[in-house]
Amino acid sequence: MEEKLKFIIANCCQLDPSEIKNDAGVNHTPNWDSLVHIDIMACIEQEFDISLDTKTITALIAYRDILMYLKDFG
Amino acid sequence: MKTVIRARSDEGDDSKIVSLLSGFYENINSRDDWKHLYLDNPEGKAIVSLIEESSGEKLIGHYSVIRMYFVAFGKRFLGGKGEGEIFDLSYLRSLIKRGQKIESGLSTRLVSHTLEGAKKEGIQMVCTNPSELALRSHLDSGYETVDHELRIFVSILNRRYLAHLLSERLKSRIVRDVSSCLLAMVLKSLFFMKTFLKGDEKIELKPIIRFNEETDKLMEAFAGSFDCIAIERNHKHLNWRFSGEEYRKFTVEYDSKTVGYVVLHVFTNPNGFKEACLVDYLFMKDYWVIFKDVIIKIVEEARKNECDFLRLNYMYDFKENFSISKILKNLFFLQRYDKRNILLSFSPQFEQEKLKILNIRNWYFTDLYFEAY
Repeated sequence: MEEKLKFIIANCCQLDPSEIKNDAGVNHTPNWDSLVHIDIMACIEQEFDISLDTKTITALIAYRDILMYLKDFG
Repeated sequence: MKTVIRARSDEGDDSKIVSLLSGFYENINSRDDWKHLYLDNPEGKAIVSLIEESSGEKLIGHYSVIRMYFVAFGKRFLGGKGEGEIFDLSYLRSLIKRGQKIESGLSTRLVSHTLEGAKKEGIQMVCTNPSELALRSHLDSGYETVDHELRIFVSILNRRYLAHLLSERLKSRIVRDVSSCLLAMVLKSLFFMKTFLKGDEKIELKPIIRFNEETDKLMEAFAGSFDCIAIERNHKHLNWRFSGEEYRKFTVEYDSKTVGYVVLHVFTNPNGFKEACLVDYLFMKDYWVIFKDVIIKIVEEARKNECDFLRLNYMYDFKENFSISKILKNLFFLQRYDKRNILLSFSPQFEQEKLKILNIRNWYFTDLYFEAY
């Protein structure tokens, strides 16, 4: 799950997966802005077959938070 | 996906904008709500930029600058508040899932487009407090960060709200109920002891329906006597901003002389508690010393309105010259640290004063600025 998530984030941010560290997140990772965030969330929904509401999308703004959410609900 | 960024047009955009914003803002449920906030501002219509698909059929993004006058270091100038970087999340996700790509840097271009529009309209400084999610596009558009410290002070007015605060720490309901009951009594007694016989009878909060030319004199006196940066609280702006009945407005009378005003927002918050929030206040130079007595009166007012608590969002800014945070602590307000992103974009004419402008101690913020528009 960790690798898959890092790959999604890297792909959306146009980075190499090795550049996605555990502290990755909005404002810490190059290119991760509000619209790239939507891209990341859409890919997560597809990849993990889940549906995210607006509140969750705006709250999950760091790699660790997303991972924790996926472990709980993914 | 091909997109176009353009300014709002009077024809046809409004219903789409209302539809987009109503999904994010609790205070925008109809065109009238939106019109009040974005078009009826006495300083003029907001500068609104939109992103739509190049077919022109679908609105997918919005950002705006709401006009407001500022006074800074003795000068008055037109400024604004950057507001509402909003995207149609559902629609964009559905496009992405169908294999379409969002252009890189689109959100930054949206914010930049709005700032350019604002500049053309003569707006010389824009303040904003974006969410973490919207921070990147703002910084990339040239906004600069103001370092600050913000605390939320709360005066608890009953046991029910205290029990709510304790609910995260105390899992047992019985322990929570007993603790909140005892603590609420202690806090009330401490506040009573602190304020007993100390309330200055010369001070009165006089309810007013509207601000007027008389209250404008308070702002003029404030701006004339303090070398700081503040939103200009003229009566047109204040009456527009605090137009609803949930805003309780008072002038502060001292010995029958009007020496300030306060605005209390009384409403039921999303957790179901009745809250009184001190959203704006201003005092003339020689009367900041009565702040403590005014706060005591405000607590009484909140109790009269059967509020569960009184809140005051406090920026450690120019107001610290009057030791306001110390007064609040002294009156047993509970405090917690909070964080906002405070950003500024200003025209080159302020370049020489840049360091002063980016220094929080030169600003006079109240919740007037932070509350959601």
